[in-house]
Amino acid sequence: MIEVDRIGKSFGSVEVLKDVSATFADGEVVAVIGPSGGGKSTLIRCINGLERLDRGDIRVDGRSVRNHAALKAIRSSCAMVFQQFNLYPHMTVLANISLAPTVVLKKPRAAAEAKARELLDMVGLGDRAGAYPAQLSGGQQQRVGICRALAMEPRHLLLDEVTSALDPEMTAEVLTVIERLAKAGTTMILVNHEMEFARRVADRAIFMEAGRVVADQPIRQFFGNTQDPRIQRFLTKMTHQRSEADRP
Amino acid sequence: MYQNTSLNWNDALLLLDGLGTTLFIFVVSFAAGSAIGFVLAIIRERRVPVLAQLAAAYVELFRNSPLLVQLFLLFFGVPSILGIHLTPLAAGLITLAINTGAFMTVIIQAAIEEVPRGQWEAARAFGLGYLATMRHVILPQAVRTMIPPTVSLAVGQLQVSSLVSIVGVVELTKIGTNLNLRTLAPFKIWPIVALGYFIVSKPLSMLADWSEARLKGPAERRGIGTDRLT
Amino acid sequence: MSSSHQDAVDTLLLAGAALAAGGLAVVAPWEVVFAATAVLLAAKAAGRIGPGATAAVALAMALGWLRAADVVRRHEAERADANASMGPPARCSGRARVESSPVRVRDVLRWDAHLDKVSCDGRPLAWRGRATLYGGPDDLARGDEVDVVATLASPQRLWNASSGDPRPAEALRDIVRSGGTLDVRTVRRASGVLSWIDRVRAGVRRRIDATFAVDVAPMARALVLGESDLAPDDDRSFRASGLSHLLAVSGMHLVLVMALAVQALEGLLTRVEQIAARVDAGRIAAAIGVPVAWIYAELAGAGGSTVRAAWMATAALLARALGRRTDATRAFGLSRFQQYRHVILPIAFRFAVRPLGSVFVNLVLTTSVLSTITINDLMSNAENLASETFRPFETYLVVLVLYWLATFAVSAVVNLASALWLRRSADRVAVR
Repeated sequence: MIEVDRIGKSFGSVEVLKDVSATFADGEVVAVIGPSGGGKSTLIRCINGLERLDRGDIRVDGRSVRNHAALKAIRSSCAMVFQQFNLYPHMTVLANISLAPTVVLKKPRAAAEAKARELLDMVGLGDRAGAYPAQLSGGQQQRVGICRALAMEPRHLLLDEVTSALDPEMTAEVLTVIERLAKAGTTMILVNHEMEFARRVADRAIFMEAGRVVADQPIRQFFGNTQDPRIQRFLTKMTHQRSEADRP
Repeated sequence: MYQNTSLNWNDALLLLDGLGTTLFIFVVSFAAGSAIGFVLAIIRERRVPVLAQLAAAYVELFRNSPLLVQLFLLFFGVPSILGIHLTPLAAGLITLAINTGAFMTVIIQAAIEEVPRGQWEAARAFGLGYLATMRHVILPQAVRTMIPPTVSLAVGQLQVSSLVSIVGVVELTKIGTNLNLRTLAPFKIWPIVALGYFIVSKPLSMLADWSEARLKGPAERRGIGTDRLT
Repeated sequence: MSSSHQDAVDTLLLAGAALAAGGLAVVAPWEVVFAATAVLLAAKAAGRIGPGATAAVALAMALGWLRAADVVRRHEAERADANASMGPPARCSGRARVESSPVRVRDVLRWDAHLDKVSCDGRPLAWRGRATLYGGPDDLARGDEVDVVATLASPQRLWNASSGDPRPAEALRDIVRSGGTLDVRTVRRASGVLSWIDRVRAGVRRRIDATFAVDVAPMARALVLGESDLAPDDDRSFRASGLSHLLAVSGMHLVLVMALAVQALEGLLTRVEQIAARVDAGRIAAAIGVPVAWIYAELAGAGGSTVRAAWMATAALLARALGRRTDATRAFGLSRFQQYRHVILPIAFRFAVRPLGSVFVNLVLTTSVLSTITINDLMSNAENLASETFRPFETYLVVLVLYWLATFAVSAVVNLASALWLRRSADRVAVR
């Protein structure tokens, strides 16, 4: 379980997170959505310690993120998939996936590589184990990123706008993988722009605007919301954009 | 007055010997300098509170002053202050190492900073410690950026090592000076000495050019898996 | 420009060149005739010159030749005249008007003057003319009128196989007497631009003597003032190594300095809104550049190549000041050259400014090596000081800091120059 307890974070003079609180139970799939600049990415980057908190605390499975010694354990249990993939360009796909398990979890090389191949098969990239990241398409790279995260057998999966750098065809292949993971019961915190996808896959939605949590509701309730004007505004904007994009 | 302006086989062996010493000085000082540079680059990258500023001051001072002054400072100045005795060879090696270290610090630090931030984030997010991140992720990528300027520096330091002859180290230039004193035929001696330096520097230069060209190739290897948006 | 108009300009240019070539023919007749014939034949073959123009050109050359021969003849007559009236070296006194910029040779000033009211060995003479005099006060300037007492004699003439015919060169200078002064008393100090320049040169000479050691001062004076009176050893060394040109303030120095100065001025003026909004600041900068070029040429000794460069710079700057683009290349129809000058080189230069700056900084540091061949630079003075005071550590430490300061200053200047140069942000982005 991840508890976010009244956290605040500023970058210079800009206050990106203002008094944010939330709880993420095990096995939940939570979609964090909202307009850009709302602090969504910053929130999940605070969870695994990539950004340091100014105020408040986050406890991952009881361990505080502010405790420097616990950070390694926290990071092994929360795996992240990045918007810009951030694969290691000088290593093969197989090495990318097996690096963290061998170094952090001290798994033997053979076991780590076997697991890596298994994961690659699962996402449909079984034959690309020896390829380098630059030889893969964007969608393939992101799928490798997901494998890399899953190789750590994490309790929580943090997905930071993982399809934003992909064009529509590649987006679909990645979303398929994520959907499969969601159904399998992994805890996932999804920061994403794909509204339809969120509605299909997530259990809960957290709507953030201007650094605050505006709404934290079960998914059906969120999308059926007719009261809160901010949510209304956001949803209409999103659906408008959607229909614009779908026009031939 | 009889002047022996002819060079014989013995002299050729002397020159080769000097070349050997020059190479020795170069290799040892460059290795030491690289080690110094590596350590200081990490200190500066980590922004260790006091040490980083001291490292910055050292780099500034020793990069922007002539090697000759540093050499004299070490060979004449330090013994007078500390009362220790330095042989010319030791003074030459130490000075060259310190000088090389200043330049290498900048090169290595720049190469490390060239690696995209996203690589750090990815490695750290999975729980890799600082040293593990450096070893597996950052340094392999930094090395590619580092190679051209390092080899250029090496070529430069090889030439500049001739200055240590001034404090008496018996290396190629010094042997040339002695031969010159004996035969008084500078136009014969110095081109040969220069040729000696050329023979060792040219392969290094070629290595620099080749590595620079080759680095453009693997840029494709860096692909879109980095912070740069395609 | 209509083609007949162009032909007329072509002919005029050729005629002017022929006039000058005719003057040269006095010294080297066969070479000039041969070259002129070759040029005319080539022009005729290319169809660029008609019979009338050829005749005009030949006529111009003949005129130039005759005039030059006349000048030489007249000078020889004057010389004979002066010899006849003044005889062997005599102690003379008279009123002199300084006509050339005084130059320091060894320890005395050398200057040309127009002598008047001359009386030698007590007898007043009717002769009047130009003489080269040695001596006089340090701040003598052009236009000054002085009373002199000097030992005057006929100038020595060296005429042998290797020196060639010295008469034309002497005719140009028009000197019939020379000698050392015994006493010079200033009657009237001049106050024009030229005399101001000479007094500035005198001031610079004083500063150089006060700053540099005796063996180095002549080199400094050669570099700054164009006075070439090196010690014979130094002179020989420079000539043997082929580096004499370094010590001359030549046309190239002038052009580089003027180009830099006019561009910098233009950069400054474009920043002043009141000016930049109304007029093309480049024209003002170019106009200011013309007198500056001449003053600089004069200050640096007005040597032959410097004056030629000043003329060419004037032509280019005037063209710019009058609003015309200085595309001399267009006259020759060399458009590839234009491409270089307008597009490739400016951009390339912008890229090169930073690396050139760091090369320059490196050069400053490398000068320390000169101390090993006994040139008195900072490093060798430091060595002397260290051995005199037995404090090597402090000395070299201070020297280290001094070199660091020097490179810091040079880097700052390079950064400033490149910031001024790359004033448009687009350039800055490109260079980054």
